[in-house]
Amino acid sequence: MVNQKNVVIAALMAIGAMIVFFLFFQSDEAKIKKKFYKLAEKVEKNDDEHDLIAAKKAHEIEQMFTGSVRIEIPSYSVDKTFPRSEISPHVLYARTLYQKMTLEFHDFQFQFPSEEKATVDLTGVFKATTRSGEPVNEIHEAECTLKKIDGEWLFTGIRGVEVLER
Amino acid sequence: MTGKRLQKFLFPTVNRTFLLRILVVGITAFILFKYILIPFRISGLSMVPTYRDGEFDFSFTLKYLLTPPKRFDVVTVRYSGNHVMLLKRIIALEGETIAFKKGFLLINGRQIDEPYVSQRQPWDLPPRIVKKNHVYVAGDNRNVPMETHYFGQTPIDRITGAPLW
Repeated sequence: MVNQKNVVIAALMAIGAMIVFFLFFQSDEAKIKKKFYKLAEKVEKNDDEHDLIAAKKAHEIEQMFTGSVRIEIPSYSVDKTFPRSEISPHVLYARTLYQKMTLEFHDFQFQFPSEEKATVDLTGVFKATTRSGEPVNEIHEAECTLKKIDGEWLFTGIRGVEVLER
Repeated sequence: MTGKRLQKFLFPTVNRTFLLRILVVGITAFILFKYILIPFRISGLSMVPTYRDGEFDFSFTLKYLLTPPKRFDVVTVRYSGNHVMLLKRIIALEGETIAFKKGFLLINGRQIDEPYVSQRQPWDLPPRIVKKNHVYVAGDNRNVPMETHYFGQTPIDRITGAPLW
């Protein structure tokens, strides 16, 4: 006969073990996914965002990147490497263009060329409303490269993938 | 009698057979809707008038298991996975030369009739050859400026299936 008290204790221990596992033994894939979700959270903007909040978010986004970042978008003929310090002004400028914006990431495909490097192929969905009220709905596939520095995964580059090539 | 059967159907006895049946139905539904008939909702006007914004459909992934995609087939094209897909029509196949002149589709220099296009803007696209193992896709809605319409060639292996209806 199974003692009800023992079942409750076993269930609590299992829940505790799962919490410990998720807190301390996350896989690199889970850590990277979390990074993307954090980026999406920081990109999100609602009406009447205060300038200080925008600046804080831009700074937090900047901190997710390594010292230099390469952005490559063949469809827009963009291929540029720039220092991390330039990210914040770009983010702030982009935020002024939209009244509302959200970013979602889907379909992560991971590759680990080495222990300290990761390549993530994903789909990004950017939805926004411009200052004039026009809706924006952009979907892009991107290949993002990340580097593990002091145990933290940081973005080193983003390359746009052309799904349809004219 | 009918009342009892209905009661049994609505409030079944939870026994081993019932749980097994639930498990089989659950697993079958998971496999069916995750890998064979992927449900999707259309967002956007790219395929108007054939498919409208907000419509619901399934992408049938076994459609091209034995036969290759053909011209004028409507297909779903994946990005990095199946969560977000494009719904487009194949208008040219590998090796063909495609162009648009005053809004009309030209394949290998010959104008092709497109009955699914209701209105068109004067698209002009210089000729280009569709690469090997690629198809050229476009939406049916040509009543938009060419610059704002997402179309072009894509590898065949990006085609995940075709809409069920």
